[in-house]
Amino acid sequence: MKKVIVACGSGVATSQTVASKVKKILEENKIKADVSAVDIKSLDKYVKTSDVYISITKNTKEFNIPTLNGIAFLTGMGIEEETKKLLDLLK
Amino acid sequence: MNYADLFDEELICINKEFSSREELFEELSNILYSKGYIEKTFKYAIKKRESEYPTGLATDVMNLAIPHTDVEHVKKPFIFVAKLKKTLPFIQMGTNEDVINVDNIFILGIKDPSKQVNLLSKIMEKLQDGIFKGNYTSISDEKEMATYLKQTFGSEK
Repeated sequence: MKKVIVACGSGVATSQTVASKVKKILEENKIKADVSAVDIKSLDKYVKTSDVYISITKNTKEFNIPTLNGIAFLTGMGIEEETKKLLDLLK
Repeated sequence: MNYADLFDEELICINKEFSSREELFEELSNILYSKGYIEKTFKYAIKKRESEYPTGLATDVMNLAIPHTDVEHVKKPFIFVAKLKKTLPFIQMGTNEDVINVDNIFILGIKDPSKQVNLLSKIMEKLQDGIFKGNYTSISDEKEMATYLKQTFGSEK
């Protein structure tokens, strides 16, 4: 199963919210994937074993897995575009 | 947990003017501390957190900010709602430099992330609901706002 990670500053609010929204979208589209909110301090470790990274903070470095804009899932601004990218990546 | 318990008329301020973000955090932290919602460390922690991981959010319906910080600075969970008279500049979440002018602040006092996980999605969902947005915008009395928010979020899980 493909793995999606979401990270924000502390992992107490935003990443959890985005992760649950993403889970809902995947369910609606009948796509199975493992979605989890992770602590940004351990991001490097998680990236190695994940397929997609949904980012809520400014990225200071490039990762070698596809990175999506997490803010879109939070505010709904640009959500169609990010959803399409996500679904394509998980197909 | 029942989200209605997070709202308190003393943690709502409507039509107030702050000269800066600094002053806003200062004043609201003082209120929260005097009511026993936060540890003394909260004030510093929330300012630091906002500068490292900004929480401004531009949406179709309004520009808001959702400042929050780590659980150890919170004594009991709360949401502080501030509708500002004059907008304040916040940095858009996920960027280091995009300034947006914010007039609605929701400070999230999160104590137990697993019990409050849906809270932020509920807030975002409600703000995009025309009826809620209309009521929220027109209410200008703190007590009335507390009652309305308790009613609206109380039935949510």
